[in-house]
Amino acid sequence: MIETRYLIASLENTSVYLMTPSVITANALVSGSGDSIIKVFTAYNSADYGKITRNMFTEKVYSIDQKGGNTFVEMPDEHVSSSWKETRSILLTRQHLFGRWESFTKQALARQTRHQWAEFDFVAMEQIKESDPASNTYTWMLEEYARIVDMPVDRAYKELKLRLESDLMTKFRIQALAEKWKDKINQVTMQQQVEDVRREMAREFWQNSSI
Amino acid sequence: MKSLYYFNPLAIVNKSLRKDVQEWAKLYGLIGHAVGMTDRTEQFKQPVRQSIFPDCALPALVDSNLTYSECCDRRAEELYKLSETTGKPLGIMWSGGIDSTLIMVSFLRKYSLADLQQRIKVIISAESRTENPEFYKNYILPNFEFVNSEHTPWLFDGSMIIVTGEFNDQLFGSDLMKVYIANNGGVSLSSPYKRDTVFVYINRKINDEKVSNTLINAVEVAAVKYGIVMEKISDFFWWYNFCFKWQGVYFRMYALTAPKLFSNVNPEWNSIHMQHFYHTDYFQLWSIYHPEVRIITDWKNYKMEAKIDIFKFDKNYEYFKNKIKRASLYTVFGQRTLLDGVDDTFTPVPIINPEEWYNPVNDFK
Repeated sequence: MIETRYLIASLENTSVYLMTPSVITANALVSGSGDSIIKVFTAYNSADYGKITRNMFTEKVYSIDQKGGNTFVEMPDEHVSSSWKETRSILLTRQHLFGRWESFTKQALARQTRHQWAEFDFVAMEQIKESDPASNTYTWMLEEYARIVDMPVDRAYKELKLRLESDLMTKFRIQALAEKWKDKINQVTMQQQVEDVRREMAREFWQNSSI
Repeated sequence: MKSLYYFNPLAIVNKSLRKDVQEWAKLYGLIGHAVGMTDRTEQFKQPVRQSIFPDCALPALVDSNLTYSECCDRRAEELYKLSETTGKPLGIMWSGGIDSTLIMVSFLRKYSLADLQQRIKVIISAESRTENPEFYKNYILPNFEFVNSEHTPWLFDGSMIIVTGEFNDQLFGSDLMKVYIANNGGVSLSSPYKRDTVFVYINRKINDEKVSNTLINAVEVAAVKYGIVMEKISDFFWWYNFCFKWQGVYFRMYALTAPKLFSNVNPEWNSIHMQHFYHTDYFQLWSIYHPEVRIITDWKNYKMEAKIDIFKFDKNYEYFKNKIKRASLYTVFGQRTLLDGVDDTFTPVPIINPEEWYNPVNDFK
């Protein structure tokens, strides 16, 4: 996999608000900021890729020179409007929360990440749907699965169905929770709101289940 | 003025700036911030208005003289009869842990498998298998219809009688004993009750001397009021769990209720469809009159009577010898939208407004 940096830039003049190594956080940020786009930087499409650090876009303002091979051009301070600075400040505040958000989501999904082959669940669910325990009819793939795991096919069906439904339902609601908090984070405009959002998000992801 | 039977403290703590509420919040450093305490002797005053649900009142102190096994048999019989009279199946929440496995054993040793297959559905998660693989393989998988525990919020529809393993913890002691044994050793847990020793342990978690003392005072006062003598340190942890956490445990499953089923959450529905297996007066009296079960030096011996009953049935020595209690409800409660509370008319309170439920006469002023 190519090492990648995602820059959140102004749609208007490609000036860079911030950098994130996560495409998920990048998408979450632009979904809450109409003026923003994602620019993907790798060592193969930018001569300046090696210069990118997390802080460089908070210390100075750069625009992207796309014709010049995706290099960075420092913008003079007088060209930077206060509203641009305000947008950057808001996006940086949200980026911090999205770091939490992404970690919470990953941690919540960790219990359901079981295979090297992620499509297994969907293929297996197809086999489940095509089988009918009431008439003792099972797909040949399910029969073979049962033989390999050394279990009667009706039990293999029952067990696999439970596991697949559990995982899919859990992932589905974790995604719903992630969507909810993505929208809430994208409503944050001030540093003072951060702690309230962080606390409530932690509560809904984790603390409510600490019973 | 309404009060709460059940509340999630985080819902109050996160939204109130009151000084006494923030002091009170420290209390929950002891057991987790999502578990509301309710003193069943009604001495302890928290900054939230609460009252005791009649079914959660402490029983009159008269020994039933039943053994633990007899309590289990009696309860299985009651629930079997309830299923017969209502014509509804029993949905047993089985996590593979000691409490829920003993529920299954209590039925399996008393009734024929053919009868039970008509009568019982097992509410199960994919995790349940890993907690007790042998029992799962030999009894659960081949014999019973599965209901996925992911469906729990929609199980309050009246189609079955939900049977939980709640309260066995309260009968035997408390999770707090596990950490105490790890920190202080099992011998200390069984030594005579000393407030100073308990204080050190409690204050390490609460990290505020005044709040720690408030809690210890409350536990001691409640014990005196009800007539409990805390002879050993283990008794303190048991009594705290038994007296202060009971009602929260009673109601917490309702926090999961799907909104379209809110109207089902009422005392009449509850009296039939929500059956916590270990929630009876005779189980509570067994616990009160058998303090010796709390004298353990090793956490593996926690709930030994329950483990013995399971072993007599399934002969699984590995489980008997090594099984330790572990939390399982987090798989059901995690990443869900929960009710903040249930009020004293049994009405769900989706979101608590702390000011609406504030109790100015409290022990944290």
